[in-house]
Amino acid sequence: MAVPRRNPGELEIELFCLGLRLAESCSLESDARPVSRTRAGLGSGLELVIPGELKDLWLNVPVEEDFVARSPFRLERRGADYEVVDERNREAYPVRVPSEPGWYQAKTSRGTKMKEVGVLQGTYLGIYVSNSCMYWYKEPAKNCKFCTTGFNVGVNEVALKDVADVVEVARRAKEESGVTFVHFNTGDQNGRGLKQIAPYVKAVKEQVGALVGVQAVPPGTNEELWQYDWLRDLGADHFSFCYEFHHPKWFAELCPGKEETVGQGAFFRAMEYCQARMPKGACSGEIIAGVEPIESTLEAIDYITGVGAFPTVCIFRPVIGSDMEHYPSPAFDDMVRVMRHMYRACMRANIPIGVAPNIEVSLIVNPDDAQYLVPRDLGFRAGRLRLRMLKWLAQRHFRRELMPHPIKGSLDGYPGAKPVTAHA
Amino acid sequence: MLEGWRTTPGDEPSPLVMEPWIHALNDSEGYFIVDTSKAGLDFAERKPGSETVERCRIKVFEPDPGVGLAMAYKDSRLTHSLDRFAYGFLVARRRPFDPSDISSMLAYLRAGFHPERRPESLKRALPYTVPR
Repeated sequence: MAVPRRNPGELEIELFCLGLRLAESCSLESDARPVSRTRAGLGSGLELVIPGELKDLWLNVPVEEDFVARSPFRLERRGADYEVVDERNREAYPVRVPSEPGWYQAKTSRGTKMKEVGVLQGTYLGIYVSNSCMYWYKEPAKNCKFCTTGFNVGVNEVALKDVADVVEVARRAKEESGVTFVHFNTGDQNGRGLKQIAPYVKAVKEQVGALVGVQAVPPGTNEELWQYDWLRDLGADHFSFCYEFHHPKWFAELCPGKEETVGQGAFFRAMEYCQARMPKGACSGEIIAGVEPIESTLEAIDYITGVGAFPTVCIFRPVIGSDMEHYPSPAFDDMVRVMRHMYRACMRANIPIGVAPNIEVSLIVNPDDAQYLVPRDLGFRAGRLRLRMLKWLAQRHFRRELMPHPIKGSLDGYPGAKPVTAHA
Repeated sequence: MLEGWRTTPGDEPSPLVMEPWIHALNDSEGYFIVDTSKAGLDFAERKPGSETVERCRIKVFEPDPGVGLAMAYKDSRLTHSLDRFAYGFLVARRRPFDPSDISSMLAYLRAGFHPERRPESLKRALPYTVPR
């Protein structure tokens, strides 16, 4: 059967699954953001935007991996524009290739190249605070099997990020690229991940003014969950919990470090703890679709939306250099089913998706990207109307958060908790 | 067999680090091409009958005097990208590389870095900056 023309949401998903070959007509060295592995979990590809009538879709499409050589999709340049051509049916899809921000090649006052401090992933600024995930240093290594972060040490990245550098980069990214969201991420830091991120959160809130997200391996015990309250006092707006696989067997097998140090339950406890204290949709559960059975992924989505968080669902990418490089990329039909379920689950649970200003995450199918996958019936239109009203109501809150402002929390400690020391 | 290996006068790497590799490559059944535009001994295999070299590479270099390091990696497919995709590192401190380690590393290279051929002695992280 002939492959039908894809709508923007379907095209996004199929590009994630199959990747994109680059025709010789492309001149990405001058037109595109550099492909960067600064955060080399699942993203090592080319940033693209698929225009659409409901919303434009940002994605980081695989271009380096060996499976890409078999992709029917080819990126071509037509004059000043780009299009993705599907060789199975000769359909052509106009796309935009975001250009490299001017600040990427600039240096901070300390002389660090700015793109080695943080990179745009979609429309937000991603900063991997320290690239030394301790799971990589264990003998035998306990790294997550889909990840390649440890292989980057000394190869592609600078190591520990300086707070002043981060502030400078965040400021330039906000001024020149319209960034509204800065996301701090770190691998395993022997239980110190959240504390390590704290100084950056406060500095960005006070000196730049942006929404701030935090991701680290959660504490192993309930007694340490106060760190999230402390980070909220320091200005954190969002916490994400990357537990990757819902089925305990797959979690244990593919995330041996997380299993051994804190266990899957720590992610659930931390997410439930934070979401119960924050506005609906302020937390997210991050999972990878396309490895464990689909039913487990659907169960994960129901669980995450059930606690009031929103699901961030990555389509599994057998990243070049990872232990899972030789795994197959997921099937398109399966991923459409997952993403459609994600959208419906968010709407059913009244999760406010697409409400925060200008946050498009290119490594995942954003929950509101998946609106392209459902029929446009009365319920669909009512849902969109509700979200538009929420967006309008939330404007004032976001405007305040996007201004630099004093933060009440202190890096010296948190009431009732053990004193902490900032590392930077 | 090895083709293209040469050093710049005054920039000769330590025999302790390089010689075991040169011998192993010359004695191997594979045909290896050195990329002289890259630092250290940086080579890839060319399969029989093929015009081009394979994507998998090994770079042997000396980050500190007496320390030998071999990195298994792939270069980016994209002409405008400087990314390198590492698969692991073999380290020899103040001793020559073990011939059996070199042999395993070459077998890993020739197998396209297939995970089942990954040498047990390969490290996953290293405290050195890898030169271009």
